[in-house]
Amino acid sequence: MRGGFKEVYLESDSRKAERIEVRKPLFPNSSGDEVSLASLEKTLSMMERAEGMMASNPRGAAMFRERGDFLREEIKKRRTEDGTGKETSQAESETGSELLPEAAREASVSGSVDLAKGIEDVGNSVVGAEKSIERAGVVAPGFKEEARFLEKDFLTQAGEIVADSDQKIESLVGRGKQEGVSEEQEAKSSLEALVPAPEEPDEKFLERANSIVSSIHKRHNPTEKRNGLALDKPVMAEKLPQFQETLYDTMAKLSSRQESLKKMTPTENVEVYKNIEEALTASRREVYGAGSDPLVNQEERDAIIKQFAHTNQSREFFPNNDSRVRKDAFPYAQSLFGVRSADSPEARAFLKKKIESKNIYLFGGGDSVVDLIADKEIRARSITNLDPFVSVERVEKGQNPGYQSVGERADGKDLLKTLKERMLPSADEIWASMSVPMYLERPEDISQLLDNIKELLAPGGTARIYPLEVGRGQDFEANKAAFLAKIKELQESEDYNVYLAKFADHLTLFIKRLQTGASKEGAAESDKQENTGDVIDAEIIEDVRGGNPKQVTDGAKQITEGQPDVVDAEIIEEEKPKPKQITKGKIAIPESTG
Amino acid sequence: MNDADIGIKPTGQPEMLELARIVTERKAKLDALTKVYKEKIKELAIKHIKNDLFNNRTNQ
Repeated sequence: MRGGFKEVYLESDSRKAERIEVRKPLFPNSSGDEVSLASLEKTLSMMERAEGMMASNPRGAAMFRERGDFLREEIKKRRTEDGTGKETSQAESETGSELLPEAAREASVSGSVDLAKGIEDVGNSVVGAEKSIERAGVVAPGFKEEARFLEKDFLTQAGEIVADSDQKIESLVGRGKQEGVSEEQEAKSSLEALVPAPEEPDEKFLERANSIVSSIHKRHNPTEKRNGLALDKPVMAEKLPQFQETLYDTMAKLSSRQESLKKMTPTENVEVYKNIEEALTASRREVYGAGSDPLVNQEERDAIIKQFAHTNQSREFFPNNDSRVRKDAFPYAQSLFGVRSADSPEARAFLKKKIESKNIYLFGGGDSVVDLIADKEIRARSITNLDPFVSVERVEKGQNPGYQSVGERADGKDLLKTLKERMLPSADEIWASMSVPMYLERPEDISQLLDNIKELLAPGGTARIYPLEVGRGQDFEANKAAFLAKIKELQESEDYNVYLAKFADHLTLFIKRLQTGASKEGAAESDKQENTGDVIDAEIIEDVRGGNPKQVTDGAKQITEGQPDVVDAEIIEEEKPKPKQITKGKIAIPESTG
Repeated sequence: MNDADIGIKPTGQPEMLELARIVTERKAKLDALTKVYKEKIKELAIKHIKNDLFNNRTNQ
């Protein structure tokens, strides 16, 4: 039986008849009536609307999707019951303890109804405000967009309120049962079952794991805010000491596993594409532009350098307690890898696996990741910063032989050619944090950026882009379309996967070049080598040997200027002669331009 | 709001009473949040109207 629980006078049999006759809902609507089928259907449509609005926030969207599923089930159930008259016959046998699960279910339904009412009210306010603006004869082009963001904020917070109450209700029903699996056993088994699927990217697994850990924490500490708690935070072990071992074991599993990624399915691709489109549409950042390629003149470059000097160019790699929770201050480890604390050996081991002996490119890296460059334990093979607009870099960076700064645009048409001339390797990792394509203004530059990423990635390499935004420029829609066209191209290629995860306040985009064919078979062996991405032809190196490529520093003072190019020297030293051929995995430069 | 207001009469069952309390608290929080956001939207509209009027005046 659903809804309309009559009265909860259950102590004596003499009340039973009255209870059956008096149809008073336990959680009525505002008129005191039982929540009607029509009201449930309306509520469902509000949940679907909310899910659509939260498309750029997968966790939020999932929350409303689950609520919608619950309502669909409830509507189906009610329609069936209305046809069978089952309600009355069941009511007679009810006792107080039997009522509780159904009452809890009804309470959850009424939560959705209340939530839908709030969503409707706020939505009506937006419509009313738009009418007022229209009546005032005012042009307010930004209103709709800003109001939409307010609506989303509301959805997030309102959804949390209802989710909180659902958890309390679940916990209450659990207490009422007095039997079955204890919460602790249940939570522990859900953690123990948390094993990454063979084809699941590390990042997607971490996103899932963090969500489960947060919900377990919340179940045990219903009044405490989650505040970004995650699997890798030592504080989690303190808060849930009974799970300490499991928490660290789960992180350790992640460190020791080898991803075995396959091409994503068309259905998965459609979902990702849709989410990317939604996220781009919702982005409204008013950014300083990075001009176009090539820049018109030195004045333009100077102006851009001056603009970027006002932004945060010194983000760190490792999270620390002082990390500000500001959009442009999320450390790389969090926004690009999903690691919120590198204090535990397990989390460091995971990062080491991702970074050790890799060739890393920072796209618009500014003066960031100094802490990683200085780290004694986690050592990349090389870190190359492509940034024509950085005004100053800290001296510590230049002291590390694996680091160099190149004043090239990540969206430069001749980027690959320049890198080839400088004998730089293809990329095992590309990191773009608060840089591109966010600051790019023209569709052609956005297209070129993604082409460069595609060609620069070595097999098995990953590009990580945070946040998922494009610059507004003069024609935002054209920028968005250019980005989406390239995403589709990547999705249609057998060699690339595109996926998303949410580790900070915006989505992070991942472009993964898959190990294919023979290169896949050799992947395990190759992973043991110290460098998976160093594929520069020996002969090409030979061609340019002896020439110390110049640092491109137009307009920007770069500390590494004039220093020996140690990365190049190492490559030359270690590279054994190989046959001259440009194959997959090398910096693939069209023959016509090479 | 007491239990009677939301359709429940005291039964002595602590879980049922707790359930009623949770529902009441949730409703109050949602109402308060809705009110805050309706106000924010109103303020946003006023801001845009004022900006436009100010810009028009400046241009004239």
